Amino acid sequence: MQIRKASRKMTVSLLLAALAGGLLAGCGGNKDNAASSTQGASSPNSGKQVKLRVATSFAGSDPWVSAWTDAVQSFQAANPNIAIVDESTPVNQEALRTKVKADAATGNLADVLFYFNGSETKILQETNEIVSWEDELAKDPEWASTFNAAILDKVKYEDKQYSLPYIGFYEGLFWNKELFDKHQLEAPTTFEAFMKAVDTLAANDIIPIATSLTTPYIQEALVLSQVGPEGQKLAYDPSWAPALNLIKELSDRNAFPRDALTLDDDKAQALFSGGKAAMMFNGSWTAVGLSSNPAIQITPFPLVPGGKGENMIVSGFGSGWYMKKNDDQAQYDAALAFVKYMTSPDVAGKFAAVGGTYAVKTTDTGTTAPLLTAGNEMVAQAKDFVMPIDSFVSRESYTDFLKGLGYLAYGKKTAEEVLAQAKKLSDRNQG
Amino acid sequence: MNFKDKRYIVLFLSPTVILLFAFLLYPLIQSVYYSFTDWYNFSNKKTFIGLDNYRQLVQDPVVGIALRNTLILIVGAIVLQAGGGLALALLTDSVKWGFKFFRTVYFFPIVISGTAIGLMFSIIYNYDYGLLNAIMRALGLPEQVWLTEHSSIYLVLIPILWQYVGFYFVIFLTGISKIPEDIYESAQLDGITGIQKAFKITIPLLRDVIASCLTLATAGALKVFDVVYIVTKGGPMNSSELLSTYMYDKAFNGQNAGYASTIVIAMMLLGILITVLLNKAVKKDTISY
Amino acid sequence: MSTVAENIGQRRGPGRYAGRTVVYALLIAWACTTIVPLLWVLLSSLKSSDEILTNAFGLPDTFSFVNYVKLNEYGNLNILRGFANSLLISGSVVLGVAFFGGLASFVLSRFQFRGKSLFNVLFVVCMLLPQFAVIIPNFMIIKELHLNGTYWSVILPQIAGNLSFAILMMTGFMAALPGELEEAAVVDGASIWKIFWRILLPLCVPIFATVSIMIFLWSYNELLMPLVYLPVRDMQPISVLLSLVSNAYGTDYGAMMAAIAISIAPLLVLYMISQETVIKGLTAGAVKG
Repeated sequence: MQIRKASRKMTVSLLLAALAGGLLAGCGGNKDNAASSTQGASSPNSGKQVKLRVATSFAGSDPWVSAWTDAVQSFQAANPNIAIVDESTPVNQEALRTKVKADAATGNLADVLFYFNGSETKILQETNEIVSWEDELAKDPEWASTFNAAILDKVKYEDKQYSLPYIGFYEGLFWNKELFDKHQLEAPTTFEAFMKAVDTLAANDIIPIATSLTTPYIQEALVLSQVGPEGQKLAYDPSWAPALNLIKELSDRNAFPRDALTLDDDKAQALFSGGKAAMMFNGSWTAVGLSSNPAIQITPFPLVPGGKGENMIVSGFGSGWYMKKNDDQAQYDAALAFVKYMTSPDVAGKFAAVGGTYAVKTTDTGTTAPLLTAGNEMVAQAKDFVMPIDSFVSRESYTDFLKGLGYLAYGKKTAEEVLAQAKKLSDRNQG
Repeated sequence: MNFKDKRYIVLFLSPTVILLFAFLLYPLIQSVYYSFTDWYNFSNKKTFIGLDNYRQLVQDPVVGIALRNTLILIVGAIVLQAGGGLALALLTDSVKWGFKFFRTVYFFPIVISGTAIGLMFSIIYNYDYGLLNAIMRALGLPEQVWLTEHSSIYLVLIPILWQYVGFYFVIFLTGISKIPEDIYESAQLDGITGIQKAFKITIPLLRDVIASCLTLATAGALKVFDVVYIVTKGGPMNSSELLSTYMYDKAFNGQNAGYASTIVIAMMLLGILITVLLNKAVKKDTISY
Repeated sequence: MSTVAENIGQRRGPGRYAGRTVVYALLIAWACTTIVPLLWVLLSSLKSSDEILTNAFGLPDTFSFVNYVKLNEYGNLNILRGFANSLLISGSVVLGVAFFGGLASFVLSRFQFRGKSLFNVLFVVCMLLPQFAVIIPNFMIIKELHLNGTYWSVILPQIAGNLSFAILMMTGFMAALPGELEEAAVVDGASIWKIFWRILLPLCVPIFATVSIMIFLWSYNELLMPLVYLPVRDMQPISVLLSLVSNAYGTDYGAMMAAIAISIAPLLVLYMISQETVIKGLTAGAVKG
């Protein structure tokens, strides 16, 4: 009895000690924040300690994490008086979105954000805490010239430059030359070749197109090919119907994996990279993993019959650099210096070696894989590029639209019904 | 033993009340408010729209499916999870060897997080890589799409129910072990069989524990989310959608927090209704010994 | 312990062993279902990411620890720090719930006052509320209290979230305990506090241990809250660190399996320890008649 009591007492006191230690550490952390917010005005790089909170999507196994951590380290080495507090959070599970929204709601935004454009800019702008970049760009023309003016324009919100575009993505049709050659198929650059490939492959027990029917990629490719960029911007227009009906047709011809309705994107990618599927329409971020296989090629999605979107690419700059307004000059200057550093051609070049297409000039590091180069060339030669559908519509109507496409692929709803339902939600959301 | 000292009542209960109010009740009241508003993207703009969200809720076909599935899940949780746990506890209690072994091993699935279990089962059910189809191939049978509109909710039920049987098992086992031996001794002298013993003595004495477990099973079934989301995402075609997954979908994917709050309120009402009914059915006077 | 099997076996002849065999067969069958997934996680962690999908249920082609090595390389993940944080956070939650919940249960099971049944309603309602429904409102409250960025921002809401379960379990247990010792203590003039601390608590060790291991587990596996509330890498518990192996672009299944395997290990150890405590407590308490 006594021994048991003693050991129980020990466990309790151990846990209490841990709790006390944690309290101290926790309070210590809080005190730090308090201290840094009571700085006086001062000029940058004057030797005064500045703490910069940065929240980006470069976390976990994001492909650019190593480029990011290197850049952060070399920035701190070059600027010993600036300490970076890295609050980067992964994008999946909506963690980053939730964090930034929670921060925005409580007036707790980080000093520098690398975050989504589009409808998310609206939320940040509503906090009245973010900077509009026109002034700084005007003050530093040399830095401003490294940005692609057309892209800068595309990410404006209400005519103001709240976000500086950086890494862009593109979507393309990846195809496995080895599998195509094995079945004497031509490259899927025309619709006829594409459909012939679908039928031949399906007959030979190879999945023609690796996709989940819960992700939007191939659906968007079809819509863009059908209605072109102008049509893409008209939310749920009836002119999209023929493209959507193609989805049903492809599904009937067994172009998709049998369990596409419950497949997730990871497994779809695995089907393609594992050679069980011959084509995949997906984004440039997957190119990073595929680039080690020389048989994988990329091409724009072919033009569908009667379509207006020839050689058009779904591409966009989904995220950009935001900066918080700050009365403290030292804090503001440090944040500005950091953003300028990250968008400099050298640093951007290191990110570019990993993948993606860039809105700034990048210094070629000579280590980019051929598939990535091919992808970039595809974008460069495209007639035009347009952001994915979800940049133009409300999230709620979009998720409903995608679910509706699942119903359509299995013949449970018609294209017109899906479009009408999504449009109803979209109209409601505008109000 | 009945004390009456009011000071202690207040003192001992206040921390609990304060914590529950601050972190659970206050947000719930806020949710009630939000359910009457139009609130998108977690922005600062919330416009009052009266009963519109509730009207949409009643007309939404997905809500009907989600409701049906949630009820199926709750029934499954009560009968198979809690019931299974009870059965296993009774059986384990009756054998001499392996008591510790079973007690340890049955708990394993709970230690593995829902995400990992979801991943495992999503691979099992997968068409190209999955275990089920591998078995079909080995038996020379044609491969199947396992997750169809009709089967999805039942297939998803399997990992959810299976994971937490061990939880109820441990609770019931603890309850059974507390029953003093002498009660059984007198019954044994009368020569009753094991099964009679279980139904006439053990289970009635566990009545309170059973009532608690029914509440827990209902609450757990209402809240389960990650396993379903990973295995089917609510598909195919919303057929395995639950109220919890639909609420998550509307709040985080669709960014419509107003409607999501409406779903939360519906879930709470459903849960309260079911627990009240269950408790009335099970609880009579507390039996003590 | 009761003897279902023994009584079934009281029939003469081969029937005697048949009953027991059936019981064991059922128990062992269930044990297989609970052990297999754990084995699967361990074996998968030794396979390459592709192999996990293509050869999901066979033995690994090569037994390699490359996944564990890869985990180490994932953008400055300090695994030990993660474990320390988990221990701190989850340990504090358990202590908080045990303390506040214990006090509340004591009052609810031993004191008489009006409005007691209201509390039951309160707890049921709080248990039905899903975590992700309150994640943003909770954050706002944390900010009001100036606790954001500290460990308290996850500890307090988790204590609140688990109190209902703990109180439900503990009140039931305490109510069923006979009150003679306490009555004797009152006669001797002991204070309420002493009765709680010295008499009731030691008897409640089994239920405290059972409840605590569950709460520790749930807190340990909790992902979304620390992910959002504690963005600073140094403070993140192991569940967050290990989830970082999957991102929006694709999942490294191999690393994920290794991550799951690592995170499960301490839980299993803790569970075994807590089971020892529970069993000792039960055998000590069961002697009372």
